Amino acid sequence: MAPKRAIRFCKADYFEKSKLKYRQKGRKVRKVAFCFISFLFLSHFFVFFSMAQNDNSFSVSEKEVVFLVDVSKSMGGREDDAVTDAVRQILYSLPADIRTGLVVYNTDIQGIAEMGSEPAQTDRILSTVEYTGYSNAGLGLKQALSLFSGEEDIERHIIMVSDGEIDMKSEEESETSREEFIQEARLAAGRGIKIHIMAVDGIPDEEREILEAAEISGGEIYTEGTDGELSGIAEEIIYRQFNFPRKAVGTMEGNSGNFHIEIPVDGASRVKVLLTGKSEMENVNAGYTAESGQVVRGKQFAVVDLAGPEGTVDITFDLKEASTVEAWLTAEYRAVLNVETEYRTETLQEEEKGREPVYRHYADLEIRLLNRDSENSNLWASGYYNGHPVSYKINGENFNGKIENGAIRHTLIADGLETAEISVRTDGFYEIYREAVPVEITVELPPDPVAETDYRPLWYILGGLAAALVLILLIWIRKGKAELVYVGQPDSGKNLEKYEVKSCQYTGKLNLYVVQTPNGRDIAPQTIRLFGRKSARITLEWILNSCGIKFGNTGAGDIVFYPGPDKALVVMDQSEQCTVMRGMEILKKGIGYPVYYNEKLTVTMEDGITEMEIHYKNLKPGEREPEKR
Amino acid sequence: MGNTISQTNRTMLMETLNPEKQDFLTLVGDVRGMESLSDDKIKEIHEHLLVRSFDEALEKFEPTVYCYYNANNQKVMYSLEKPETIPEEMLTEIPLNRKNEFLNMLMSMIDTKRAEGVINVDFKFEKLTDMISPKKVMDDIKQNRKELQYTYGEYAKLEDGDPHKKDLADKLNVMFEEASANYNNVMAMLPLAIEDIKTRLLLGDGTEKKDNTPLALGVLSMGNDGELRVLEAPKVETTALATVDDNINAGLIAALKEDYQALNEESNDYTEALVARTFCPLASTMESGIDKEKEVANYNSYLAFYKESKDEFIRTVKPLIEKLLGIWCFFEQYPKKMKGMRPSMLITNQSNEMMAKSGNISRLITYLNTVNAKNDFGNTVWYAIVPSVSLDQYSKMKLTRERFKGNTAAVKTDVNSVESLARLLDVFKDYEVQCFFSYETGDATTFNRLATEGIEKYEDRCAPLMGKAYSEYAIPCIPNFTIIPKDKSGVILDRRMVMNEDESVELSRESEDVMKLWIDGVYVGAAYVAAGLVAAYQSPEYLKEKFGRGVDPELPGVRFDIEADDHSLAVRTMMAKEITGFTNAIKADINRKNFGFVFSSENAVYNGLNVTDVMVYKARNLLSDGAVFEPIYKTQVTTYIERVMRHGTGDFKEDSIVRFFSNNPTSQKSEWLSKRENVNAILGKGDDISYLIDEENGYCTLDITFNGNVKNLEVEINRLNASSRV
Repeated sequence: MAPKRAIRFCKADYFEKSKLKYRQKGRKVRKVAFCFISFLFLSHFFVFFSMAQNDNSFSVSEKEVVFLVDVSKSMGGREDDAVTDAVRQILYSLPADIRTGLVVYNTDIQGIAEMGSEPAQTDRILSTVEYTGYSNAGLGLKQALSLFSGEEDIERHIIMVSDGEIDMKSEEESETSREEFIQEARLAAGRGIKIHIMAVDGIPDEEREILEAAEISGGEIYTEGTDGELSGIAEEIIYRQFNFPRKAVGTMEGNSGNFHIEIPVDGASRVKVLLTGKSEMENVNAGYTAESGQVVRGKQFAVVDLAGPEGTVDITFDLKEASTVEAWLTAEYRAVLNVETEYRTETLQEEEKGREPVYRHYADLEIRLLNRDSENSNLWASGYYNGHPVSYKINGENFNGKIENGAIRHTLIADGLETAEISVRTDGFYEIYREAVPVEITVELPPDPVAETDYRPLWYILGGLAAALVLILLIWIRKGKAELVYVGQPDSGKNLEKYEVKSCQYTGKLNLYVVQTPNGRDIAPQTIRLFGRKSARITLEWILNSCGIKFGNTGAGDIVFYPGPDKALVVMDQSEQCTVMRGMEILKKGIGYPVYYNEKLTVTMEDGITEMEIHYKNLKPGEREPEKR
Repeated sequence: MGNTISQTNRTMLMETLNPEKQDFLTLVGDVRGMESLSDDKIKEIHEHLLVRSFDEALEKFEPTVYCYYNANNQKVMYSLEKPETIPEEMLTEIPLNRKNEFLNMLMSMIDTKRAEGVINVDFKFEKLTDMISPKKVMDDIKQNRKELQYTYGEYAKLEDGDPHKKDLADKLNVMFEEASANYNNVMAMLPLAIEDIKTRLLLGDGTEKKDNTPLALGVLSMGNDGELRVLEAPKVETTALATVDDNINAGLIAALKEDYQALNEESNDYTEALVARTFCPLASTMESGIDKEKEVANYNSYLAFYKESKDEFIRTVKPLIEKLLGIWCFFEQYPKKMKGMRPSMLITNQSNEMMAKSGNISRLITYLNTVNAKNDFGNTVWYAIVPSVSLDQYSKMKLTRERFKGNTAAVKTDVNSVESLARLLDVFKDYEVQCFFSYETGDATTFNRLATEGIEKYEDRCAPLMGKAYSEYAIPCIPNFTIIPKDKSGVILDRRMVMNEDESVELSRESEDVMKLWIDGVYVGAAYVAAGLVAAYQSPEYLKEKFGRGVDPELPGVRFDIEADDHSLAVRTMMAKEITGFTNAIKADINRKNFGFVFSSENAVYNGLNVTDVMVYKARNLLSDGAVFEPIYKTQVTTYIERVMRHGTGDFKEDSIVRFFSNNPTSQKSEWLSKRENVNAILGKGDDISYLIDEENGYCTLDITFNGNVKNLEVEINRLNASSRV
């Protein structure tokens, strides 16, 4: 195990260096950064990064494909099953939005898979073919044409696999079939259906009527031998002919290896990894997290087909002989366009006397692509797309833009528009976006701004009034502070002394003991510091509230305290029903009484039940600093 | 300036001993508008609540348990509070005094343990717990009846009119009174009945007989052929008495029966005979008419009932007993015969929770304002004890359903909350009363637990009391003392009786037939002992006994630092050691934090003798400078100096203050400094005192230096006079 781990470290180091190299070259390494490939070779290994072209343009149109396979006796001469293998390679590699059908023929039609059949069903028919009988290509082509749907705007292709011979039991029958074949080929050309020929074992010139079908319909002819092996031809058809969006994720050379592939953007409905080798592949295994998945293997290909995958895919494989393996990734998303619009108004001409103002309205569009399989999350929000060039069309006019911060931003002059149709060309993306159809938005112009009245003079007046009010209030407060309090003298009892509250300071503290409450509730003793408070009137209600004690309306608001001379606290009972006692003396209403340190007040509230004791205590110098307390 | 302060150890105990007696709040009464109480009122309060010894406490408060019977469940019920709905005649009052066997047993246990000086694990608790078994009751009666028989014999011998006969009659009256305590109610008769049946069925011999043959008394004789044999003696019904003079015992029996009938309206023959048999046994208990089956059934039911009632009694009475033991331990710290500044205790007879109610707290303030804020220090309260502070804040939660018989102590309801303690501390702070408090007693707060768990849990529990203005006056005392450990609190009363097939009777040998009751551990709060010890060492006489020379006969022990030098070895508690000691790690932890008033049970040698008592390891309050807690003596010295100064300077007159601290040899400071070599010096070695007068604020700040650490005391200078207010 140890040497293996050591190699892995070497590879990682190598990748870092490779990335750096690409960055230095100024290429967009970002586009391949998601693809992390490692190979393990028995003797040696090489690493390649496949750099997809930046300006690639894929074919994203809807397609219908019918495989027309000749299974006459002449086709069965070869020992390998390269013919069906090539068909299977194309069949499984195609994305889900390319619908397929199959017609297998010899003297008669041997098997049909209807258009839109599952690849597995088509595969079953292929696996049971027997090479026997004559070759009635005319009948086969006719049958193949009948499988296509009648829908419009769909590309249609027939891939005919044949050794070229149209041969029936009798010459007459053969001739009829040939004529029918040409006729059907013309019919196909008339319907825009291209017939591509995979000419097995080459086709001699005397049997060119098969090839004519391609020429008539504008299809391609791929000849085994001339154009390589059948698997190579299948690859050519997949990637060149159909050219669906895909991403090259690596090429390797050797006789075994593994791919570690990171799916660039989460939420794909389907992902396929297509591996094509130049020699026979063995032991293809895939590790992944997905809703479902399968690995389909042919002689020289393998397809890892995953539904709802997450994270990464790890694929290991062996090759019978050391050769090259290419890996491609197709990712499909169910995505819809989403356009958010904000309107703004620009004043072209201000309002003047006799002239109406002129405004211009703009619609700022933000175009996003929402993934329907991932709670409508914005697919382009991934950093992977940042700076990706996009072509889009608004009301028939083409624009080129970039994805920035997850959206394409476009400003539209909204004046005169009622609707706007927005479409985005998805052929520039490496991913397949199904359902990304054009959207139409209704342009709703905002109302023109109403000219604002200039209220500044009014504000000046109000400000002046407020300042005057504050001034009056301050004067009133000052006047209030200079309140005169008549204080009864304990000795004489009759002579009242008057003095200004403002000239005295609060000192000491009050300890409150609620002796009795209406509901018998026990209230913890409380202490409130008077020292340091402003020389203003305070009420018992305020004191109780400060201590968190609530009695309701019991007259506490009418029992007031003032700072007095000689560190006294002056208490005044202004209530109607409360009783306040200083020691044993009941206080007269409206007259202040001085309370000195260590004296106590007994207050009975208006309800006649609530009763409390208030002890006036000194604070030592050390206690006057809050932090020491 | 003389000895202005005659006592520095008056202690206030916040506990209820007998709700039927006067209590603090009732006696203080309404204090509306009153700054202080009158001297008469103070005298009245002290007449009712102040005690100077344990016996005085018993006498003044007469702690009582009320007993009544519930016919529905056939059980005996006990209550510490007098049930108001039950008529007097249906209630039996059981006084808890020195004669109470349970209290007596516990006090004996402390004494014995102290005398033996052994730790809990080695002490034979069962020897003393036997004291509450029926056998012990019977043993006591046997001793009493011997004396009774002797005295009655002497009395009967004398002729009527002989003056000595009257003396003996008086003596007999006392003895009958004591004896009647055993038969004036059925409950007291139970142990008698149990032992009586045992005596009659097993010949009083509870020991296991190897031979199960039924006993038939016989005589040894020789047969016709000369063989030796024991012949069964003919049974004769007899009422003859064992003593020589039948007439004497006949008289005694008659007297006992008459006394029993006079005391019990619903007397019956069985009980009457039982009383007679118990106090005046017949020679032969081999009565032919014994219905063995019935007697065995009676015995078993008596025993079961006795166990149930004892169980119930102990469960009910234990909290009160723990309080009484606490008071006893408080006074025990000061030697009985020593004169001098004997500690006194003001028992509020009121729960802490009740006292801390906002409506009541002003009564406490008024009282303390009277005794602590005057220049008469005779009644000043210096300490307070608040025991049984709740340790577990969830202790009041009750089990939804008791599926198995669990620890009933888990639902203690008589604990004091920390909140009520805090309220009281806030008052104590203003009157400079140092409050010793200890946590609820039980298995969780013993020496054993402290030795295994450390002091962290106490520190956590004290956290709400730290960093407050009153922290200086809060002294957490740990651990609580164990009188009987929970696991050794089983008392075997007796065993059930069984009848064999041959109708012989024996005590069952099955383990399930052993009647055992569990006292479930008895403890004493550490606060009692801590306050008792600190109160004791306030007395110069006490210190003189402990240290000999170097003690000033006038100064109190306010500056005595029990942590210093070998003071803790010399001044020890009167409680015997409980465990082998704390581990070094636990001690290091205690020393690092310097937390609390911590007792230790350590091996130590002082003056060549092994120390067998519990000592004081730390004596700190909850005032912390961030690193360590402050020793308790600093607070008391500061208070003492303030009080002496207030008294000596005419309530802090500025010129008197200057004189107080002058270098004149007659100044108070000079006097104190001249005695600095004494153990009880107010200013010891390394101590100093200086002052600074803040003219602007009218304050004098005293800097009292204790061995280099300075403590500030601020007093307001008396500059006001009547004219300045006008």
